[in-house]
Amino acid sequence: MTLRRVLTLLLVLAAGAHVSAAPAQTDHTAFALLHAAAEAPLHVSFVAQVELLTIGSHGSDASIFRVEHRAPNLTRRWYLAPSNVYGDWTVSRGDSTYAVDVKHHRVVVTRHDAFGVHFGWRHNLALLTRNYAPILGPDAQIAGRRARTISLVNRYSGATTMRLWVDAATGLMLQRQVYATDGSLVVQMHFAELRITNDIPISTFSLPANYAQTIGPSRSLPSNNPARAMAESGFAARAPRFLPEGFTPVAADVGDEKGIRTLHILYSDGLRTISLFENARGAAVDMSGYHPVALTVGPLHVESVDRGPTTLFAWSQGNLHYALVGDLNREDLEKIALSLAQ
Amino acid sequence: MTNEHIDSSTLIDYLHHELAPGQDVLVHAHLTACTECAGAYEAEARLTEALRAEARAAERELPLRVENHILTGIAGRPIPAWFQRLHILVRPAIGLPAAAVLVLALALGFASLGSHTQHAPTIAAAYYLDAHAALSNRSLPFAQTSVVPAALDNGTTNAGNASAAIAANTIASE
Repeated sequence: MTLRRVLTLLLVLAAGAHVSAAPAQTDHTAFALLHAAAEAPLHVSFVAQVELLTIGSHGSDASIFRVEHRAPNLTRRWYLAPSNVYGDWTVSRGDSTYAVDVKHHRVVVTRHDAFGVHFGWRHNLALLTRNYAPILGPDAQIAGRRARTISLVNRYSGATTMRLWVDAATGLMLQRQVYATDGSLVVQMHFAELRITNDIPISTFSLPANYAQTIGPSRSLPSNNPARAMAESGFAARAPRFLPEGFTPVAADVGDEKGIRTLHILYSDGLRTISLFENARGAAVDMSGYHPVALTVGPLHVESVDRGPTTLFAWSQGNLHYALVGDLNREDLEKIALSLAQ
Repeated sequence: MTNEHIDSSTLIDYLHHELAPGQDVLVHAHLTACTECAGAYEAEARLTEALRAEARAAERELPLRVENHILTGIAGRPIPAWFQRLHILVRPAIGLPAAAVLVLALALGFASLGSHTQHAPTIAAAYYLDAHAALSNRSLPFAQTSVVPAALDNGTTNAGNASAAIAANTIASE
């Protein structure tokens, strides 16, 4: 082997190492910006118009709403579109949401279902940065403001899973795009207008008089101890033997839906999520209103529906009934389902 | 509620989401109209946040590896053989009451047989999709993908939970 060939080989190896190692490196400026974006809604009050778009292979959804956010945790959303919620609004206080349904003259109160501004995402930043490298990109203009770009690159696959545009002056997240494993766009949140202000009166968050008040979907307070939730479920719950790289259990709750005790464990890699629901009552899933597809996954007979980028698998095995919900590709969901059957 | 200021224990319960939904709405409405109570609420909120920050600083989380190990352990725990389970069931302390309950259940079951047909319960697909979205959103950064809240989109409510209308004067100015 000549010296030139050895040098060429070394150069090729070095280049290859650079490409594979690049996503694993953490850009400390991007990391600091990510933290600033997490904290911004706690101290920045603003009025904005926001567009939210979710794209699925079988259909897409979009909404446009005005947002008045008074730091740290009061948020009002007033919906301009779609037409079925036009004129309705929500007031969120932390993780309680009051949904004002103007057409039916009622306020629907929901606990533990945050609909404020990026609520709660400070808590799992460590998991996110363990599995994703934040990389700074070129600056851009969003809603007439200078925004810094952060790409979140999966440390295992090297794929960009999310891109954020963060206001250079305040740290507010002005735009967010989520990508599927094939690189296609599946979610976009975009601030069309933004005004930073400390003058939002508290009366903005008041509720209408003489509206009936109803209790929305009940959500129990989730635990950050999935192992304990499994033990307390009251039946021999199973955990999947396969999870995609970087995924770990992050939250759980044991709830009663229609009197059926159901264990819910949320798995995540910091950005993508999967929920596994289990109950021992063999309660079937009512898929009316959707277009279910029957699948055969190994020995399992699975029914599947999609809502935007999110897929639901439902099946029974033995005396357990499972529902698996997530925004992963179908192949990974099938592997998880199969691993529960083993 | 408008004319009377909120007492401190109610305010603390409101802050910690401990009030019943009906009372929670009334307190929320009062706070949007009463600057004095809103000030007291802000003070309580600051105190709570300071205590939480202190607790977070002192908190030591169970390492994820340990959590995973526990989960794997639970999933893989041995299931007792059928004769071992049978042996447990036939002990008098368990067997006699169980037999009594079984006899009673059979009697009631036969009595109701034919009077009506029981359908297997079903859970709506939307429940799973919404619960997934709600838990993702509160647990993780950038997880929100619900275009509109489920409460507005499909009008999901628990039947029978409707309570009285919010009184007209609850959000009137002081």
